[in-house]
Amino acid sequence: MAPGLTVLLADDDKVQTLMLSSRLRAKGYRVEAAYDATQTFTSAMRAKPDAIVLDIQMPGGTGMLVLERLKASTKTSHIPVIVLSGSTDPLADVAVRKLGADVFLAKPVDVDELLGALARVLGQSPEAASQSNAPG
Amino acid sequence: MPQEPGDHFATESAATADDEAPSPEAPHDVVGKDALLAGVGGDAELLGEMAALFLDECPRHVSGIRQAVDSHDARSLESAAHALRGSVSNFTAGRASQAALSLELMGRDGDLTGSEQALAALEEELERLKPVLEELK
Repeated sequence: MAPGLTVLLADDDKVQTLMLSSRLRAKGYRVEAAYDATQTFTSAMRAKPDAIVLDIQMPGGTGMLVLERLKASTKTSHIPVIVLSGSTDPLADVAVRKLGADVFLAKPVDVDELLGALARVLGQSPEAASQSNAPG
Repeated sequence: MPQEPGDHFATESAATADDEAPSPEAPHDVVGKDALLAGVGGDAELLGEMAALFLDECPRHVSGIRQAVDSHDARSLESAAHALRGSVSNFTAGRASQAALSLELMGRDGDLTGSEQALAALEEELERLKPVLEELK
């Protein structure tokens, strides 16, 4: 389980956000959702999440810009960022890592892969992540 | 796994067993229900909510694409088609996702030649997808 850990989920795709929120909550994470770049940055400053899952292509300013700002601010630069991308650009992975992203995952998202990545960046054991789906 | 009459969902076994020429009217690559359920941890209620949300959001996405095509706005087309592609990909809908990708690439490349036809193809695929998603609600 991941009691007390907060994940900021930033994605303009409401269907994906609904799905990922539910899966992350089932793992014991608290989830904050943001649907555009401004909301993402504001939520990151306010909620001080333990990790951010960021869609790199959002309206209202690109996710790339958000990533840059998150990593430039002393208040948020320490927060690990997992970037999700459905980009057709084969160099998107390199670009986001240069900006400080910890993990790059291509869309459509493999939820188990995302959960594993979250466990890694949050310093949890993979066993804890895999065992935390038991109901009750 | 045998498919029930009226079952529009593709299954892994159906896909592998169906190596003959595909029937053009069969929407079998639209959605794989087993794969969808696996993707949401077997939570049928969540899948239903996702389907309902997609059906609510879909007209807005298509309207954005239509507006971009009509106004020959390549950048908006790329953005709007990308958004729809991301959303429809939650349901592993190959054809609809491919149709959206075609429009996205037209927008990215700034060449909107054939975008009307591509949009028509996308709308057709979405029409095939809708009743399948309705069944998930």
